Amino acid sequence: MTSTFIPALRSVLNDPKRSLLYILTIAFLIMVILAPTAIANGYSKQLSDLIPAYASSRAIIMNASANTVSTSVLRYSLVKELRKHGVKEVYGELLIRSRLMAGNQTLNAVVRGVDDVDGFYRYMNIRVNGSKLGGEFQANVGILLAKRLNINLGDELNLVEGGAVWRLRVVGIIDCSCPCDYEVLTSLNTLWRIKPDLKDKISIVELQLASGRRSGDLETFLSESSSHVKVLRERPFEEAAQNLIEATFNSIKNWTLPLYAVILVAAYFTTTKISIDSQREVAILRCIGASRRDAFSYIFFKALLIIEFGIIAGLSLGIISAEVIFRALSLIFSTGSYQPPSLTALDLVKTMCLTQISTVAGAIYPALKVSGEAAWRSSYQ
Amino acid sequence: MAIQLSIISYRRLIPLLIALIAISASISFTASTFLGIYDTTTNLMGDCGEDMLVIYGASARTPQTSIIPLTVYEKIVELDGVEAASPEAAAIALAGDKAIIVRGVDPTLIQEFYRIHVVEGEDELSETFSALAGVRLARKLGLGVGDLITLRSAFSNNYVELRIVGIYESGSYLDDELLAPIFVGQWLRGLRRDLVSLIRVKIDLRKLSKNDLILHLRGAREAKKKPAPITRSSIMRLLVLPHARRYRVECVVRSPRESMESFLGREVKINRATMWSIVFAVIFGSTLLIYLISTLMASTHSREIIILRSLGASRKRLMLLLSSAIISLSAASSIVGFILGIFISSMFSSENLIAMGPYTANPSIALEVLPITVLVAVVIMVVGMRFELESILRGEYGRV
Repeated sequence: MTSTFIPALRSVLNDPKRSLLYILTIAFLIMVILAPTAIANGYSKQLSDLIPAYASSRAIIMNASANTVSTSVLRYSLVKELRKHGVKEVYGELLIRSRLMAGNQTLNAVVRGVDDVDGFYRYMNIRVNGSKLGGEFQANVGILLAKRLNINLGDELNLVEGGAVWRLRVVGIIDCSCPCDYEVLTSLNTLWRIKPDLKDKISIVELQLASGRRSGDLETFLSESSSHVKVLRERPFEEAAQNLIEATFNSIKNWTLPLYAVILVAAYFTTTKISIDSQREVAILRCIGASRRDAFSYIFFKALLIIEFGIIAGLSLGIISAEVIFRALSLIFSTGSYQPPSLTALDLVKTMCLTQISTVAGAIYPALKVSGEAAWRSSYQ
Repeated sequence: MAIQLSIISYRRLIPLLIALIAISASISFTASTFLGIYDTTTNLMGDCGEDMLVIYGASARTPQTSIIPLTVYEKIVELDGVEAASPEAAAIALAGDKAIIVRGVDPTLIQEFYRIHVVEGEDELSETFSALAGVRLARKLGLGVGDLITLRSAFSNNYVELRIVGIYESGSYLDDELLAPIFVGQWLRGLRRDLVSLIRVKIDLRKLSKNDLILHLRGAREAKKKPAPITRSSIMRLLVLPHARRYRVECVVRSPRESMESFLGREVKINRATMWSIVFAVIFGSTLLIYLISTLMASTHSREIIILRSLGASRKRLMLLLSSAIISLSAASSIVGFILGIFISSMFSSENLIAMGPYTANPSIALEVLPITVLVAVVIMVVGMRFELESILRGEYGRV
């Protein structure tokens, strides 16, 4: 079978005009796929570099199997363990959704129980009109909730929970431009009294790592303390921006997928044309004793050589044209600081594999067809 | 005439027809995808008439990222000619590991600008910690009515848990967003209660022009006020501060589309022509394949052509005969390919494979693509056919 490789190569080289036409047919299509991919990669990298490398030192710890805050349940002892471990700003919080009655109005509200009131208020930058939570069954009400239900300092709130009505006295109205503005805040002990089934339990832990402490230390500690928890960074700007950039630029990669079908079609027709061009050569080969298999391998090798040259030319043209387009656009729009187009190793491997599969799949049938016809054709000679 | 018809075997042309359809489909797919991405982006603030305007900070890159004081809303809502105004606070938040857009709105005011049709659940954001999910977002995140979703703000240290009370369809970019009460948007954007991202305004052009509004906001001209006092919605009443802070912010007033087009042109350096250049790149990339197809079309009929030539047919007559077949083949395949391309683009869009950040790009139907494809295919094929005909008549295919 390999004996037909050299004649196939010679045949390709002996007719440079036709060979170039076939090579460029494949190469142009690969170029169309690669150039936008390379430019998109450059833009994506540029945008990723623009994202400030900000890693918040604040985090939330939730139960690993919970999807939302209020369904998360953690041991309160975790807060103590973290404090003992040296994390200074740690706040255990229990969040429940309850029916709230104030005056003649009722509303579903979030009630947040906090353990270290002073620390938590400082942590959240909460301003208080009145006083902070002192004793049990006292409440601080968020300013928006207070406005909505016409709650004033000294008023009493009725919390309907577990079939019972719990009375809380409003000792302060809080304002923080955060979700606490629409919540009822009370002490953790009060909330444990209201929800005895959640005694010694919390929903989340909010914490801030001291400067110089790495989040890896915390994660190691948490995994060692056999807590089934997950740590979620607060203000995950980098993660969100990266997510949006990827979603956008993946679209360009997805756009290329149907174009591989056109490459398959191109390979099929290139091989068909090569087969037609080579009918005389195949007939001669058959006359001098070449088998049908040899005829097939001759056509297939010829097509494969053209396709491989086409892929190499396509990759080169793709990268060159991306550079040319990019430089031209940079000059026109004066965006010199942008990242030049680039292809990742994964892009190259993906393009080469998909092109190879498309082209070989497209080449097999015409090659088989012409090798089958070869004997008949040769009888014409 | 009878001879002319018999020499073209349309059965033998089927593979070539399929190839032309594939090329036309790839061109149409590229056009509808890239123009769709552009149109989706320019329509991100809404695609409405001249009476709809957006007020946002002059220094901001986009209306979504702008910050303006709520006092602007107070200032414009009392103007005669302002039919509706909706302040909004837009924020990016992470739901699990997916970034989504949360739009803080006053649910009663936003209805003036969009036809929000609730397909499941209710449309009342009666509780603060509730949200309405756009139909595409709900599908993307697997959300249903009654589900809880925890959002971590990308801009502030705030996180919030919301209950999905309804799923809506608006036929706009809002279908990829989460609508929540305005304060939720402010918390997630890290804004104070007296700040918002933008204000959407609907004006009566007979009473108030865009320029009047701009001049009024700049303090250069006092516009006529409404005779009756304004009744504010319950949510807006909560946001009003007794002693409002004074902010020095210059605002711009633009139509929604204009605001996004200016962002794309100025900041991203992309316009509609950029998208067309990608379409032309695909057309350019396909030229040699079209050429190859035309040569194949001639070579598969080489014997018939030689017989006709032997019977005395002139080159011109042969060319005319083949050209008529090319034109019909190109036109038919371009139309089928055009439709197929749009169909593939819609399929990719519905599978969320083509997106602009959190927004699904809706395919655009660019009818201009069809004549361009037909023209390119016909011209290249006629040229290719001419060269191949010469080869055949020179006897290069004579022995087969």
